[in-house]
Amino acid sequence: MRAKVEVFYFGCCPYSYFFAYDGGFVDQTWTRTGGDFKAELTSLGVEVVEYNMLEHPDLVQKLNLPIDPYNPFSNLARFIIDDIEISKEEFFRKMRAIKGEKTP
Amino acid sequence: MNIQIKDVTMENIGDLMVPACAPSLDNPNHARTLKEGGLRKKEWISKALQKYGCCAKVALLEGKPVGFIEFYPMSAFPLLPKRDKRTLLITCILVHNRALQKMGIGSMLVHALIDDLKQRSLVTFNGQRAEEVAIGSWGCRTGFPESLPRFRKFFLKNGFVEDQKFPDPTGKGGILVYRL
Repeated sequence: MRAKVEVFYFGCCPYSYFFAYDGGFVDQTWTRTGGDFKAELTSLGVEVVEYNMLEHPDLVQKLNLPIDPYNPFSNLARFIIDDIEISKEEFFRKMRAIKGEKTP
Repeated sequence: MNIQIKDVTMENIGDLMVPACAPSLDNPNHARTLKEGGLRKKEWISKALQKYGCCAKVALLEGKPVGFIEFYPMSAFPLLPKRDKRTLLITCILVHNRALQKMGIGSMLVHALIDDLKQRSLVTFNGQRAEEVAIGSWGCRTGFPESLPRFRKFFLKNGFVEDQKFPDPTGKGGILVYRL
């Protein structure tokens, strides 16, 4: 089984990158966050390919990604197993099952 | 309050990075991811400075960075529609320390940019001056919902006007523009 995650972000904005990994600000002072799955991808040994959309516009257009090009916070992550894109939830369910980990 | 506004160059590029990554995060993994986002931005800015010339200004208080404004020619965003004007797009303006917000630093950054653009010829426009500065949808339609009214009010206060004819592939409209 080949598992891959493609991350699309705007290189001019660190938050675009952060949000692409589901980092999210959950309070007004930006001191607590939730959801960031980058560390888990690393622990699961998943191949991650990152694309700065400012340098790969052709790929964004080819994949017809729903990106607001005016919004530097825009981002997207694609979860792929054996060349088929699936939901994030299904992706992590399968990967955790392989690793013998329980899904939270 | 002694605020200085300076162009960002390769020599002080670090001043632009610090504020964007300043918020402390409760989870070290999350902090690491945001820091890595900051490194990606540094890579991008390094290339942009060489390609477009000046593309950011930083506000310094007692010599320390407290905010910045970032702007690029519209052509830097290949996913945007073509514009037959010499347009700069502001992609970010930030005063990261809440204690220093609402003290006019953001407006100082905007006006420093506008005053500069009124007299500066730009390499990216073949030695001509910019004709307009625009704010993308993040300043009026997208971004943090709770912040949008404040963003919009801020830019309107600083002389920007809504342009319904400005090309917008999202169809949401309301791009804010300042004619130079």
